[in-house]
Amino acid sequence: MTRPTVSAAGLTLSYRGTRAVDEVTLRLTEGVTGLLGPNGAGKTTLLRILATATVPDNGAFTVLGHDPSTVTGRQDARRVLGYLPQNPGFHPDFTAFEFVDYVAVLKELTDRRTRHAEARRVLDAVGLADVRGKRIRKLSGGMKQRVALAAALVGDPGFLVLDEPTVGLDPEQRMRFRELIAEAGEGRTVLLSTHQTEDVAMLCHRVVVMDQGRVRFDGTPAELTAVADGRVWRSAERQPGARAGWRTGTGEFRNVGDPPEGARLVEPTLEDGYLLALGGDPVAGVAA
Amino acid sequence: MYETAVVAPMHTFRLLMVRTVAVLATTTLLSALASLALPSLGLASLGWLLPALALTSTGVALTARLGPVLAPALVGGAWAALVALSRLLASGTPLPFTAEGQGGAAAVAVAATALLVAARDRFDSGALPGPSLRSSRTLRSAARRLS
Repeated sequence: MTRPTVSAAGLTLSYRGTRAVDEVTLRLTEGVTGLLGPNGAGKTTLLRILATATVPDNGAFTVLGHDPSTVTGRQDARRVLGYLPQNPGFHPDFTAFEFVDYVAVLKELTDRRTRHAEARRVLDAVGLADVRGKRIRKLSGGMKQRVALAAALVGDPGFLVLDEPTVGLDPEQRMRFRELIAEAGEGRTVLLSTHQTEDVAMLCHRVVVMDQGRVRFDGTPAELTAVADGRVWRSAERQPGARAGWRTGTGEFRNVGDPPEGARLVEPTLEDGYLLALGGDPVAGVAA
Repeated sequence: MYETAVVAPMHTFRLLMVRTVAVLATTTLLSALASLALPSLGLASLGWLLPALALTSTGVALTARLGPVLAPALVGGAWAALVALSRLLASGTPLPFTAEGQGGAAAVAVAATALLVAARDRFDSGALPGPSLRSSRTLRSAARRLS
């Protein structure tokens, strides 16, 4: 079994009486791990904990061997991680280069020559070499996300935390961004939070499904899809007993749940498995 | 940009001090230049320097425990009360601008700076809030079980 690069045990964090993250245990290895879940599932809170932006109430974790529960451990962990938050935020007057250069200063690259070379390297890596000198406010949404990704890549971190990086991007931009994430995942541990099952299907060797602060599934995308084997069927009318059902473009209904006798079963998708994993007890595939 | 700075390895205290010193240096220079517009006061026109330093260092030191809104509000309120009270109780030069007041301001500035340095780890966003050590021990023992 591949040695985990990020290990977390029993992470718990509550806000105003609500358990945003509830006894989360997971082990990440090299490659891209997808974190799927609905709004309010606790994904962003979990990512903020692992990125050392907030402290859990209970539990512990290590990042590439560093323990962030101590001051020096936290600084060491931050030296090996890159974080792309849900809302990166930019100073409106910064150019792409100036922003990445500023982040490089925060990442302790004090030598100007080295720092500028690093800023150029990461901007080239995300395909923004031609717009380095352009003010961020004049860049498209997709380009802004790439600037934020470039900033996260400064210092060549071993652990990348990406919080819904493809939100708001059009299909072409999303495709390009996926390519960048796939490249970033080579030789690196990437934890990617997303609403899009397509992101997981195309990028991730592993997927974790969260709901109401708890891990509902932890396994491969194929295992998550297999959760829905024999539990997806089509019908002419809405099925009240289905866990989820929706009208398709052909006028038929696609249903997920426990099919009735004689139901017309269809091949499940990753999304079907995800829908079954939400709510209730953890489904088969959760690591012990 | 807040979260980007929060998870950066540069210690939050160091970043705070870089920004504080930059602002302090600039405002001190500009205010000193403005004081030249009061030549009749002589050196007394620079009497605001030490109280300003005392207020700044106290405000930043208290921010570590009370947060960035309550701390400066309390310090500002206390300063206003002190100046008003000194005017009520005595005529002539307000207390903060007397020799005793200047000495007191210098002492407060030194003490507050020492407190600030002692509390520097509290500015790190990952630091545990409040004086509780229980959570630190729980986290460290759990981390040892992980490795």
